[in-house]
Amino acid sequence: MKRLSITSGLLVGYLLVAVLPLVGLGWLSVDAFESALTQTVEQNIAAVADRKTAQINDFVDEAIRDARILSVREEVCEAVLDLGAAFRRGGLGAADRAARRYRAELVAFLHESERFHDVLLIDAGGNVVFSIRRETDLGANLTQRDHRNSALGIAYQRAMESLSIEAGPFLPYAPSAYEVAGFIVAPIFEGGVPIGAVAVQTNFSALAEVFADRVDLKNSGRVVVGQRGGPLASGVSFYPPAATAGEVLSESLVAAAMDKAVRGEYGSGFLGPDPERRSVLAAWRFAPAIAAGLVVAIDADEVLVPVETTRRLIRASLGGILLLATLVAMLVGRRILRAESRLASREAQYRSIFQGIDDGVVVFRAADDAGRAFRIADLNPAAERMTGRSRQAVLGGDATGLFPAAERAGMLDPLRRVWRLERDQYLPLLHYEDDELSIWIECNFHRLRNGDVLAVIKNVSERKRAEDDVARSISLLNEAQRIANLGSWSFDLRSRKLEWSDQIYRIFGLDPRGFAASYEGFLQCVHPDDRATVDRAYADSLSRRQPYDISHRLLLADGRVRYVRERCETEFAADGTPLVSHGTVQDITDLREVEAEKALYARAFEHSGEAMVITDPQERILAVNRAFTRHTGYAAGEVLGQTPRLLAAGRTPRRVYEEMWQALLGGGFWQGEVWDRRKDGSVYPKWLNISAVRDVAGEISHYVGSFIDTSERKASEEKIQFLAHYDLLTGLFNRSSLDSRLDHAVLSARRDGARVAVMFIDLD
Amino acid sequence: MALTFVVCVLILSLSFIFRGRDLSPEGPIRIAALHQLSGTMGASGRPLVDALRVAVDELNAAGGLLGRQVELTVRDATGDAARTAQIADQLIGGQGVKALFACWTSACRKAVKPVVESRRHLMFYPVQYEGLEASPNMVYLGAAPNQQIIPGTHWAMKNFGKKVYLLGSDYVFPKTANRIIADVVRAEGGRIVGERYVAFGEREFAAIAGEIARLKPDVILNTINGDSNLAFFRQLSRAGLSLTPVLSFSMAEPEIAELGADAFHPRHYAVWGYFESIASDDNRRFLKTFMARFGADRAVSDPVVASYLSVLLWAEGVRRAGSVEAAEVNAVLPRLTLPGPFGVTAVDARTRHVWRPVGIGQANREGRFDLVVTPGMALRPVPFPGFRSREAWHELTAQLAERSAGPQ
Repeated sequence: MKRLSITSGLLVGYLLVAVLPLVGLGWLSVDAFESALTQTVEQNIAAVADRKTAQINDFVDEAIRDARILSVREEVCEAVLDLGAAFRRGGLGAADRAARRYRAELVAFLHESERFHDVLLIDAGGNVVFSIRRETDLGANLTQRDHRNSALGIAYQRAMESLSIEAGPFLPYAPSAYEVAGFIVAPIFEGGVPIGAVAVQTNFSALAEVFADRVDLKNSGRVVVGQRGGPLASGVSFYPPAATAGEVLSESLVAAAMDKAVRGEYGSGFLGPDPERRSVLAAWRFAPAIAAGLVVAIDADEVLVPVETTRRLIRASLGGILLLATLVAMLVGRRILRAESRLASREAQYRSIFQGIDDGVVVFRAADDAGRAFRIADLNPAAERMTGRSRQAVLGGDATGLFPAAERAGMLDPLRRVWRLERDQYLPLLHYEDDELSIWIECNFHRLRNGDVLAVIKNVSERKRAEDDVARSISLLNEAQRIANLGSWSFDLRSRKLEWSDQIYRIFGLDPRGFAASYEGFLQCVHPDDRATVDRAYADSLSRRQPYDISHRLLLADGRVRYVRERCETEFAADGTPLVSHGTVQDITDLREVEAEKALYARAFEHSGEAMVITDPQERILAVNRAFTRHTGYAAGEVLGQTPRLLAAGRTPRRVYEEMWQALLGGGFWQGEVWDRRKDGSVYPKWLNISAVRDVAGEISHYVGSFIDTSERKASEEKIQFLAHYDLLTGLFNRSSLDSRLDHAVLSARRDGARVAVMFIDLD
Repeated sequence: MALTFVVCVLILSLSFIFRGRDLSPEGPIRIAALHQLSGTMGASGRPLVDALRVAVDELNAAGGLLGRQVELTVRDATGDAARTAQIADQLIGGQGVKALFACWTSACRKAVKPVVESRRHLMFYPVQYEGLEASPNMVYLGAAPNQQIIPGTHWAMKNFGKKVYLLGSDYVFPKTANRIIADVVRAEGGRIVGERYVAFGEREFAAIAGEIARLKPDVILNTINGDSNLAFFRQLSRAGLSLTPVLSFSMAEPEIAELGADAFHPRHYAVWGYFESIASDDNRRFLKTFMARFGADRAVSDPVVASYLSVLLWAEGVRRAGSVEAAEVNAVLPRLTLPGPFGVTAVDARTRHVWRPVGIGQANREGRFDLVVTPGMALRPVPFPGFRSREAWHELTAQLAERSAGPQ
């Protein structure tokens, strides 16, 4: 079936559901009403026809009864015999004279029965011997040719042949001025032998009066009596003639009904339409008593007026209902159309999403009842791009047309599960690989209401790579933090969520799995003595909107104390609300120790008894200690930036300096005695030690010199020298001098092969 | 949507098809033919049944009656009155037939009539008879005396003379008919020179022929029924009485055809309302149907046509009444008229006889009649002729019944 557009579909639906049944029902009800009405009017007209026929029959029956009564009356018998005898004797005149005796009685009879035109007596020879009206038939012989075929003659013959009372046909009767008349003839018997007959004449007009009433005939109704084939006429003749009746009725249709009637049909029904489009409702009967057909006809339009009225009524109400139904249908239809267009636009929207989305979307349809295999019902361009397969090639084909390795990649099982259990499933990460394709995907299977399974497939290869990179970066960062012993944190003040990097946990000596970072947890780690300080520093930093940088101690769980340096900056919203704090924690325990050591060295330098001086490679004095000031008289500020040559007294031989630089540049150390001048101008000897300090690269970075004032020691030395080698009392060499000199002399002699002689003189 | 459409169309078409139809037909309407199919009356009875079959087939071919088919049950009436009455009772009571189409002879009719009346049922009688009868449960399609016997006698005496010889079968019809004929003969101033009755199936007519030859009647009025007629006419021929006119009241075309060449009587006349040779469109149409079924040499007669018409009349009654029940059909029958092979068949309401014309035919060698008097204007049926009172007629029939109380 051709797909109809929604509008024409609704239209057809409306026609089928509303218009067709309504019109059909309307038509059926008109039809039912019409058939009921036609049945009724047909019954009515049939009843009229029956009544008319019965009236005619009764009329004739009564006439027959009257004729019979007359025929058996003694006076009549007498009269017939008497008049017949008179007629035979003296013809009509004699009969007429004889008739005077009977006339009064027969006239009375005639007057009793108004329906009779005349009463006649006929003698055994067929002579009309008596007539009340004395028309020209009086005296006629009914067996003779002239009268045999008259209405009276025919009736007479029938009566005499069957020896019973017989009615003749209605014919124009010449003696009665050609009025249509019929006769009923009753034979008169005497001793079983017919002695004559009595005839009663009925004019048709009298009969017509009997059925002349117009009850149930409305305006156009008409009662017609007709004859065919009799002596009266060829064809059908009517009474009354058409001209006297209404002009509405179709003459030809009445004639058609009369045709049926004179054939002897008993019926009723609608006839027509004739060429002038008129129809009649007619009933046709045959009245054997007058050997004539009777038709009651009425204009069909007139009797069917109620049908027309009803038809109009139903048509109008049908129209109204249809109009109403149409309005309602339009409203509903518009709503449906609107909903439909909304649906369509939504569908178009979804379709464009479907088309435009970066994720591959594939609709799978189960290929069998068990949902083992699936066919591709639809797929979007993204899926084509992702798989590199064209829609035409795979649409309608098996799922493996799109993903040849779907089974191996574990895509089909979830698909089957989703299809079977009608439950959505999400596959977070899946590596799909076939001959042409190697991607990381993320699948979302969704069971559609029609049984299809919608798969949203996201190619996450890029993200996977990025995630891998990030993971590597994070691990590098962690590694760096570990090496730098620097941890980082961020604290969301709104959610009060604190995040620590791995290194913080390490610094704090905590297990990340067993400890959830929180500000309070952090404070617990702070050394009790520093806790208040730290808390205040952070609070101040927030209130002053200033970064802070403090060092404090931590008291670890194992009792160790660590020093950390903490830096923090906080982001604030425009209104000043603190949002997030970022900070670093640096383990400076080692640094602390170095600094302590440096401070020790500095104090040692400062408080050393030796005067010390440190210069850069260009011999500019960088630092001097207190002993230097005491020895030289120069304050530190006076000499910094100067060279030590400032101190030189000029008494030290040049050779000494040369030796000194040689030693310094060579071995890096020199010591010797130089003569310097104090600030006050006095010259003094000092014992100078100089070391060249080299950096990692071996370049000289500093010179460190230290000296002591050797003027007193020089004197003491000379004194000690003297005391060692000379005898204080005598001033002569002492024994130790002897030992050393002797050893010396022995060694020289042994080398030279000479001999040594010792002479011992006792001074005492 | 397509379904809705199909359903709508289906409902509409069904409503068209069944519009105004009786949706619950109750099976066929059964009617019964009860005629003598064998024996001496067989040749007369069988064509009546054939006519009934033709009419029933015509009805069924036109769709039946009130949407139902009509089924004709045919039973042999035999010659035994009691047995026939029993069969009639069984048909009405046991088989529930809705109408009986029965009897040729008056003996048969008089046997069945009490059954039909006591059951308040309906019977159609198709044959001319002696009259003197009326029943609210019968419809007489045959001629009453004033439609056959009386005008026939009148005509015979007027044309052949007043010396009349009466010959009939020894049973109720001829005896009653002859009483009426006697009245007519007397009324016309004639004389009955002889009156003889023979048993059904009688073959020996030599004595009667001799009597006729001796008496020299102007006309023989024949009321012999059945195949005795063959022996009678053969004897007439043999006895050289071919010039004596015979007017038969119980012989129509089939009976004439039975006679054959050796029994042909050149002055043999019959009185009927219908002759096969009547020229009218309705008759030609009827003959065509009948001949198409039974062959061109099959004779059609007044009783055959009456038998045929009786079914159509009953059918019209059923249609008018809208019912097949006898009581309701009975109520509408007296008003009905029907076109047919002999013009209008009209039921007279008072007598339940039909209006009939009277014609006279002369038998020819082909076994048909040449019309001598063409049937004209129909006569009102008068079962009780007016020249005696009804009481007198009842007295007469009672006497006759008493006299012929023997088996008939």
